[in-house]
Amino acid sequence: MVLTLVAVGAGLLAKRPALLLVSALGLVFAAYPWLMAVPSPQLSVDRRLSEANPQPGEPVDVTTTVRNSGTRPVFDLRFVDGVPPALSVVEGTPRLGTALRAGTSDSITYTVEAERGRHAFESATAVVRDPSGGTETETQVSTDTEVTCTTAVSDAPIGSRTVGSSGQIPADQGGSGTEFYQTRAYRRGDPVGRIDWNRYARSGDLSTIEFREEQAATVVLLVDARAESYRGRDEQPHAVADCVAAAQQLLETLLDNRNQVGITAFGRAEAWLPPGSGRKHRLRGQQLLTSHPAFGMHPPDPESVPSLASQRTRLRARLPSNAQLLVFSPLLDDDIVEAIRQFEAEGHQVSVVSPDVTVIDGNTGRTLAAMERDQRLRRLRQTGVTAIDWAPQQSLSAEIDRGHHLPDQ
Amino acid sequence: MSSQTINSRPTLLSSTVAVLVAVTVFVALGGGRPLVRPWLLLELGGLSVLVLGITGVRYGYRVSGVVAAGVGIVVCVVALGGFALGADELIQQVRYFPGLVGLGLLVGAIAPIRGQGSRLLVKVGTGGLFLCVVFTGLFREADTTLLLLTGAGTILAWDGGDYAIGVGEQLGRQAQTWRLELTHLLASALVGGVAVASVILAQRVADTQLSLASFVLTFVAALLLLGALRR
Repeated sequence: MVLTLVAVGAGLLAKRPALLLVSALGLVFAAYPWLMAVPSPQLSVDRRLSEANPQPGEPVDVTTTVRNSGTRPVFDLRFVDGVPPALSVVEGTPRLGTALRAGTSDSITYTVEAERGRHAFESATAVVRDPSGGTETETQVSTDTEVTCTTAVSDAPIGSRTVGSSGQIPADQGGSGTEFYQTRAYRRGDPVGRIDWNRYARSGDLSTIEFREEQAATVVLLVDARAESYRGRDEQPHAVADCVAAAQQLLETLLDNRNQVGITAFGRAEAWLPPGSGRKHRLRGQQLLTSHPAFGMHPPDPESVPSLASQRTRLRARLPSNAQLLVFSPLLDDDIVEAIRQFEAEGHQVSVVSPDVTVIDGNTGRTLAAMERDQRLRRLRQTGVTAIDWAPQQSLSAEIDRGHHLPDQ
Repeated sequence: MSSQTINSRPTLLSSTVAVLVAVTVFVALGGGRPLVRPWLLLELGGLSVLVLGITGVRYGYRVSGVVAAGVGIVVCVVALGGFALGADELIQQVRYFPGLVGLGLLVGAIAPIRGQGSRLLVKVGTGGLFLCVVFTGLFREADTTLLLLTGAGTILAWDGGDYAIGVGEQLGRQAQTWRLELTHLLASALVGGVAVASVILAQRVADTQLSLASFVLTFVAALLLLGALRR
């Protein structure tokens, strides 16, 4: 518009009609955006993965196709795919700029590197502008896609406290399991198949064989997602992402072993899934760990997070008396250790899976932080807490099998 | 974990089109005549070396890239200074100097010399080119059709540069954007063409019967209409 006025001024002063005509061009270009209709796009997205269940570190090709499902052309579409925050794009770009006639589509292909955990794609963002760029509409387009990068964990680091239902934790009482426990005097009503006939043949006494019962436990997975835990090594995911990935793996294992599993978090938002089991419960648990704001990829504002004491009090009120706690925390401060010890003191069996995100290098501060964390692990083990020191680059399953969780003697 | 960083510099297609249109406009206004041509060629050579230097720095050839960019800038300054001081036709110097400066600024804005490009420099650069159009009209050095075409070309060069920066900011240079850019550039060119054709047609219809005063009144009326449309 300034240029138009310059041309008008010059044309008028010098009496040059040609310049006045040039200024009319400015008017046409200025009117151009106002003559365009506000775009109302109808878009759909289809996303394909080269591998939905990759190994950690494996590249996964993602092909996303965006289609104009409306009846009008889209002249200016700027599309950004909703890559899960924990996954990094290592090749290509999840962004596309295109124009689509009605019914046509365009695709992008890029590669992400798989990280441990279950990663749901977020809604893709589409900004549609009219051809002049005068008006724009932003819209979210979603389709359910998930990258599941979890290795099966055969065992869960939980204690021996069980509930009455059948599970896979060996109970300290005899019953109808598969492992020999003891023999006792025959009582009327004992199944004939469990009578120790060899002993009867030897001594004439009737006795009954008891097997070790395998019962289920009630376990609540507690993820430490406070601002303090959002730390990580350079170029690595932060500890909360590791904690959530570990919780996802152990949720599967515990549910597979017919335990009652609940989920909660210390963090910005209240996350609570009461202990339960079954297919629907498994889905709810997976969904909670994947998408609940408490497990967000960005650290919360420390001011907006309730105090740890109040969160602990709230959890204590909810926690079933027989429930065990399986805590996922990088143990980067003393408060979380104190909270764990209090749960243990109140009679809940507590186990800890702690991803190690500390570094021992020439930096005094970082080395000190690593030493303090080691100290916290030792203190927990001394109070009888099962604590697994897990290097996130290693398999959690291997770490558990190695028996690192045994309390310090 | 290795992740890519987004290259948010202006997109190549729109940037290239913007520069090509700007150079075409300048040449069409007489930038190719012997008085200007050597300096224009020298400046374009300097700008090419500058762009090569900037590209070298981006690809890790820091020292040689900085040296090349420095040489490019010096060559551009020599070209501008040479034209300003060397030519002895003041009117032609006044007419072409803003255009020469404008070309340099436009390339510097979308190459870009630093950051993600500068919309302000694109405006200033194409503003210099437009001044060249205005001076050409003032000095009666071109007919109305050429003035209209070069005026529309200047607006297209500005639009292309601005669009290249916008798309680069939002999607990055690695993103596939050629369909988007081509559609926008063609639409803008179409509007420019329609605008030029409409003005020429209106001029032919009105011919000489429309006095300057009548034209001014028509123009003011159009401005008011535009203001009303905006509300």
